[in-house]
Formats: sequence, C-alpha cells, structure tokens
Amino acid sequence: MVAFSMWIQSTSMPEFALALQKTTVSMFIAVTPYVIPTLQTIHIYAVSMLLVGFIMLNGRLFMVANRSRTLAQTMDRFMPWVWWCLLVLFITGALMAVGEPPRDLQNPAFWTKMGVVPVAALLTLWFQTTMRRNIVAWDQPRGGPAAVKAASVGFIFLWMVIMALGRWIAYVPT
Amino acid sequence: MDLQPLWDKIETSPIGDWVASSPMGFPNVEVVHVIAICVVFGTVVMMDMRLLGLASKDNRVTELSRDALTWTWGAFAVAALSGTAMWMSKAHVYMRDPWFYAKMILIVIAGLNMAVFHLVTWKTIGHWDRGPPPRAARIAGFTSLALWLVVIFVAREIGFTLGVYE
Repeated sequence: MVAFSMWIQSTSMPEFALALQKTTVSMFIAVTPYVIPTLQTIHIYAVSMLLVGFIMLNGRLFMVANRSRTLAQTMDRFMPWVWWCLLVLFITGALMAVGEPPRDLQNPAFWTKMGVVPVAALLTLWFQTTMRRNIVAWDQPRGGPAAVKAASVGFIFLWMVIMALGRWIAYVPT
Repeated sequence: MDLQPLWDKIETSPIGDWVASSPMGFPNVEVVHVIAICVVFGTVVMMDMRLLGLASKDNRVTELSRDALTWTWGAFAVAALSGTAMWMSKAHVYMRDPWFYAKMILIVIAGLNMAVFHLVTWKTIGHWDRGPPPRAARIAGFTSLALWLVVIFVAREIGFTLGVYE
C-alpha cells in the first residue's frame, strides 16, 4: 500500500484532485452540512441491499432459504436489487469522490477498490448469464452444483472485501 | 457522578487497549461492524417491505421471516460485539457524543417495535401469511424501516463527530 501510495503521488493525480477540489460541485458537496454523511448513508443502504441480495440467492442455492420458490423466481426477486444497487453505489461513490478528491483520488485503498469493483460487476454478469442458461439443471432438491455454490459464496466474500476496502479509505494514509 | 475512572478502566482493558493501539485494530473491527450492520439493515428492510405489502408479495411471511431473521439476529450479535469493542477503545469519547446516544435509543425503540409486533400482531399470522398484511403489520413495518434508515445515518454521524469530543 505504501509503494502504491508513493506511485499515485508520482502521477498527475494529486494535481487533478486539487483542481477538482476547486470546482463548484466539489465545494458544494464538501461544505454543505450533512451532504457527505448523507451520501455515505445512501451508499451503505445500497451495499446492504446488494449484499443481502447475494446472501438470499446463496441461501436458495444451498436450499436453506426461499425453498418454496424456484431458483428462477429467486433470481428474478434479488438480481434486479444487485444491479440497481450497483447503479446507486456508482452515483453516490462518484459524488463522494468529487466532494473529497484528495482523500479518495490519492488513496491506494480507493484505487484498489476501483480495480476490484468492475471485476466483481463483470463476474456477477457472467454468473447471472451462466445461471440463467443452466437454471433448470441447477435447480436441484439438494441445491445447486458444488461449484456454483462455491462461486456464490465467493461473491459474498468478494463484496465483503470491497466493503472492507471502502472502510479502509478512511484509514490509509495518502 | 464522575464516571471517568470507569471509562479509563474500560479503555485500558486488554480489548479496549488492543483496539485503540493496534494500527489494524480499530479499522478491522469497524469493517466487521459495518458488514454486520449492513446484513442487519438489508434483512430488516427485506422483511419490512413484505410487511408494507411492497415486495415479496407472493412469499409467505413466515418463510421470509425465517429466512431473513436468522441472518438478522446472527449479524446483530456480531454488530453488538464489534460495536462494544469499538466503544471500549474510547468509551469516554463515545459517552460524550449525543449521536451515540441517539443510535442506542433508536436501536432500543426498533427492538421494542419488533417485540410488540411479534408478541401481538404475529399471533394472527395465520390469517395473512400469504395475503396482504393487516394495518398493524404495515405500521410495524413502516416504523421499523424508518427507524433503521435513521439508525444508519446516525451511526455514520458518529464517525464525523467523535473527534469533536476527544
């Protein structure tokens, strides 16, 4: 993280962050009371619903939740949450970065998070598409195949890692 | 009554001292706390939306409750333990922050709302398990949703105000 931080400092990112900080939008977000906490709160609402969406889908794959529903019904119920929440996370995250550019844009935890989130989103898309294609075969009385279950658990951990990186933004020195 | 000696004792306890002094202590305990709170919030919202008749309308309330509340209680226990560890690291600061009191009071009210719902309204679940919830259930769902939305905001405010009371 220290080497990454030093590398960020050697790029034009600090200058860009300072320039962004002087814009009207950035100053409005930074100085208006309760804007940053409100954005963070909405960010937390969205990540909560996304995480619980994956947990419920996971529960159905393991046949420990939503047992009266088919896998397709469970996907229809929770996957839209995941995508809508990702959109809200993107908007609130972008506004927070604009409001606090030096804190975020010079932060190695922030950029690590920004590297992991698109990977997680693409993997989610792949997982969703593959699951749709095999939905009947994977909807078994004892739950989905072991590899699918493992992948689903992996998604929960991946999003927990992203959440951890988000929190570490506040602590990693820039 | 001067409680400062008590806060000092808590802060210098092995847990309080580790969370406060270890460079990874507080941030990692906070990560666990945030993830746990997110699971509590997400599962509570899922249940509240059903009680309000806004989502999962064709799901049985009893099934949804069983699926959600197992996670809610498990995550709540983790959130309470990690929250206590964070509080022990600077108890005297938390005890001066009005946002901390607001969060605790709101969680107690949310708990009471849940208790009343389960002790009173839940008794008639057989009549509305598959159908639209009665007014009492909708009120309980709305109250719970409103309280937890505010709890998250207040919890975030603690992070912004603790430094003021150091």
